[in-house]
Amino acid sequence: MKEETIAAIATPPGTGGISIVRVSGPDAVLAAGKTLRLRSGAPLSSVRPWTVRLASVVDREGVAIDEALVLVMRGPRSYTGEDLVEVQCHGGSLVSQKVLASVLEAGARHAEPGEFTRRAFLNGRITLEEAEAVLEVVNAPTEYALSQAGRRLRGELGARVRKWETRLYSALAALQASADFPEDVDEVSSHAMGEVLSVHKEIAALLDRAPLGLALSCGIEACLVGPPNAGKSSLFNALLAADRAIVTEVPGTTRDVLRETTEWDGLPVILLDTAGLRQTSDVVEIIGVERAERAASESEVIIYVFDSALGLGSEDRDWIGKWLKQGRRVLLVAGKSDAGACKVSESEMNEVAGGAFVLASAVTGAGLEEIKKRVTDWFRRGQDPRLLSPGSARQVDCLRRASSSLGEALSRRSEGWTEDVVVLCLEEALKALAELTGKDVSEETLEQVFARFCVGK
Amino acid sequence: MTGSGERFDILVVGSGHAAVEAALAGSRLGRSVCVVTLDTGNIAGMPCNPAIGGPGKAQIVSEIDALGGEMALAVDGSTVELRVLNASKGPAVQSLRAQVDKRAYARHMREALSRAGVVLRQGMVTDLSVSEGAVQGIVLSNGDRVRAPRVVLCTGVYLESRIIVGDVVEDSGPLGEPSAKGLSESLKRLGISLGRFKTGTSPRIARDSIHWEELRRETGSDIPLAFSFLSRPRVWQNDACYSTYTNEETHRIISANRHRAPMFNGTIEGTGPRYCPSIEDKVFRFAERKRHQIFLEMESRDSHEVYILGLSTSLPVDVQVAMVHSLPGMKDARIIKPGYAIEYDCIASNQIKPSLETVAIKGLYCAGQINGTSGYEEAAAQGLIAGINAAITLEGRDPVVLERHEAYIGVLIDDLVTNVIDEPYRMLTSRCEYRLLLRQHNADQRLTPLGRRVGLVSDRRWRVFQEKKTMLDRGRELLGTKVDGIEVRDRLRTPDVHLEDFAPVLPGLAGLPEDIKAEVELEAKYSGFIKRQEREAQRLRRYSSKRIPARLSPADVPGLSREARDKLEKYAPSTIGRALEVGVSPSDVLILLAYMKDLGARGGQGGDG
Ligand SMILES: Nc1nc2c(ncn2[C@@H]2O[C@H](COP(=O)(O)OP(=O)(O)OP(=O)(O)O)[C@@H](O)[C@H]2O)c(=O)[nH]1
Ligand SMILES: [Mg+2]
Repeated sequence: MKEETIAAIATPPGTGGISIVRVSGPDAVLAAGKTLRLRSGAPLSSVRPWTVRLASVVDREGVAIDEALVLVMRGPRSYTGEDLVEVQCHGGSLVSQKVLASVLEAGARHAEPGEFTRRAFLNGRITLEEAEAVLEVVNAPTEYALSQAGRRLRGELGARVRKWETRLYSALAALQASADFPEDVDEVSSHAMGEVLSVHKEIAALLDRAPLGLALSCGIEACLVGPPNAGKSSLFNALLAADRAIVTEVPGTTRDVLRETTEWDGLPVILLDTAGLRQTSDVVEIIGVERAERAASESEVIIYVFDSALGLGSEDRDWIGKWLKQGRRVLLVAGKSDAGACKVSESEMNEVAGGAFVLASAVTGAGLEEIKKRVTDWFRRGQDPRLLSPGSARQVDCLRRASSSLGEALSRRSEGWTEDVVVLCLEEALKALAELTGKDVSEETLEQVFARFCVGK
Repeated sequence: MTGSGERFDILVVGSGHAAVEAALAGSRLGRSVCVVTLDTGNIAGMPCNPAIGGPGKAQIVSEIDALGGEMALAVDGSTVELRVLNASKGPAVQSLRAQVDKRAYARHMREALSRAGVVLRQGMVTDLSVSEGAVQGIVLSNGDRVRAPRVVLCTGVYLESRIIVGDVVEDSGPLGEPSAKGLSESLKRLGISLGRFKTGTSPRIARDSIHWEELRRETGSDIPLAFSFLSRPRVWQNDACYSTYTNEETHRIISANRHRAPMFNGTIEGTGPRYCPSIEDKVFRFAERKRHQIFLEMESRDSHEVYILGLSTSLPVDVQVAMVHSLPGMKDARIIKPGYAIEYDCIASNQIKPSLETVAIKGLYCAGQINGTSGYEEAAAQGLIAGINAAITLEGRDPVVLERHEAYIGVLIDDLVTNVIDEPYRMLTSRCEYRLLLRQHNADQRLTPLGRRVGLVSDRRWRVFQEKKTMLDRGRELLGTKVDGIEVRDRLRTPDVHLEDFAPVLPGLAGLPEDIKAEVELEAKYSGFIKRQEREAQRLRRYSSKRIPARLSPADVPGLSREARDKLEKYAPSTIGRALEVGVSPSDVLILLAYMKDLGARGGQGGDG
């Protein structure tokens, strides 16, 4: 049984300038050849690899319906490590759909999400870190995010981790030598533990940049919530500088959760607008309120908007208190600040929101920049977004485990535990790092990584 | 070439530590066993230092004991000094080391063999008879044939061996015995590829030529100890071990004669053990060290030979004399036998299965230095496993294969069969991932039930095991007692609280033997770490029990390395764990897993694409 040939449209759906159909596998050239005619009449298999050729796309009856550029690559020197054909079709998706349909008819199977990159990884063409970075580059929403993804695609994170591994291995070797050769090795040099300490510090510094790194690669979800008619949708539009949400003077206007992607200070932000929080008997609004609550509980930042003229009710305080207690980032916004003085004193807002509050107006634009700055500061924390940071929850998880094991090694030693325990902690740290670089990955990790890929990549 | 018509169930070739355990196991499991060796006068000899145990090795000895092997009993029957190494470094690495009387040790083994009814036969095995891929017996240099469906090769360092002292090279075995000729050729003909390793030993000095008063006496532990779970612990202190250091003069002599060292001038081709370096190696590699510790150990009560631990060398005799004379207390020392290096053939160990049977030939097993290991303990462990498997497979039973999380022996054999060993392999605690689970003192708890199932554990050992288990349970129960509302067990989970501290409030403690108290205290103190290792081992086990479908054809799996493909084809492992065991690398296993997932997703359709 040989590997199947897979195919998919690699460009996003819609009416773009061109769209690309990708075919990979042992029969890629054969399958693609069914629908493509070279000018010379020669079969597609005769095309020299890595040269671009113009071909007609023909339908089942052999009638030419369009022209396309064809690139034939031969495994193992291709992205997937297999024979790979890319067909660039003009215009919208109709032509590419037809090309895909005929390739599938010729025996190829529609690719699963991430399957091309997965094959590239399995065929040893790219490392796990690179595979993750491919995903990021593809989805990179901002320039900073793209440069981060680029760093990881070039393997910078892996290179740094490997340096840590080398240093930890030498510390480990020193400890183990003293146990294995008690007659020859005098005492474990404090040098070994010094190395552990300094690697621990360096990992901590990188982890410090995890919120920023994750923000760059996944975007910051910020959710506008608050009582009805507080001006959430108006702020939503103002922050996006677009007329996106319906605004009326009727309380309970917004029902569905609206999502828009934007960029604040170089960081990608996904802004959410939600229904006003209140007890209601309206069936549709009840669902809206439930959705608002869920959106708030799943987002990274909660922007709680209230009407300055109305002040904060006990319900407002309950909501805010609950989220703060859960350790959520809550920004309190006193809206409609243009319409008159705020009923709530600054010191009171300070107390309710733990210091994070802004006076703002959707009408004058006052306070909007401050909202953006407050939100992004939580992630930036004064750091330079161009420096390397971890870019996926998986990487952060591995780093965190490595860091906590190293911290434990250090504390166990000072608590007076025997060396064998210190060694065990070091080994656990090394295992976590090996997982990060993909030297030691479990099946689950692979699944996770590749499930995030869109079809065609 | 007429056969004598003799026939046994198991033939063991050699009479060193691997051979002795293999023969005893086979015979105790009810099989007729014949040991064929170059010199029946040399049974379980110690051509290197007269000592057994140490980090990693002591754990192996206890595991052999737990399974019903002989080594620990032989040690306890011949111990001169006994001490604990790494006492302060933690239970995972703590290990006993015994200096033994090598003649008494050999006597013990000879008697054990004769009690077990093992037949001894002197002769040089020059060929194997093999038919249809299965071994049928051996051929001796005089043309005699002995038949057996199982042959265990424990040839030690004798295969085509050469002894090297300075520029003198002799084809000979360690003790002036002949080197084993012919068998290497026979193995090669059978498709087994051979490597060449090197090891060495130190000069032996006459006891009465040493000024002992200038050396430091090393006394054994004053706490009663024993290797075997069957022996009564006792204090062993016999005025048999002294220590001193090399000095700058010693190092100068070595450096000045570097060009005469076979290690460096190209005379020695074999790869030597990094972990057991010769003194010239140490002096050149660690040039910054001004001195190296050495130990002087009496070899036997009945002999006036003294072994110098740490002074292994193959320098010319005149250099050895100068070197020895430069040491404290040795200005008049007489060398009885010079140190030497020995080169020998061994098989590339990835040609054996985890059962220690060779891949190429059914019924042919290899154990000990022939598989590329060094050390008496490592050899004995393999001998035991090979002996057990040679015997039980004759009854159609599945071979015993220990996993890495079950025993150091599991680690040892797994390392051998999955790697191409490129230097003599010595066990170290650092080779073992689950070392906090595989402590020396719980070897019986880990392995004696298996030994009982196999059939090697005597009624007496089984009774002792069960009594100890009862005591351990009693001790564990005692730790459940609450003191100030907190169980003693939990109070012990910090380094500076000890079980003895609770003696006043735990009267039951007084009735427990010391070793039981120590064991349950340790279990409680390290419970957090022990659990972590257990979880990790379990995770591994789940993963490794995953079945590889029989319909999977390795050639179809894209991205697999050629090596992995070959191994999958050759061994057809039934599970992922087996695949790892036969040496398929983790990244190849990952590729295999991903492929299996696809295969599963495509269900029984097969044949598509
Ligand atoms: N003066 C002033 N009026 C505002 C401001 N923002 C909103 N309003 C008015 O307040 C009313 C409610 O605005 P929305 O943005 O729809 O409020 P909302 O919170 O989204 O309301 P629901 O979706 O019903 O929960 C509208 O009449 C807006 O014109 C502001 O900054 N200043
Ligand atoms: Mg609204």
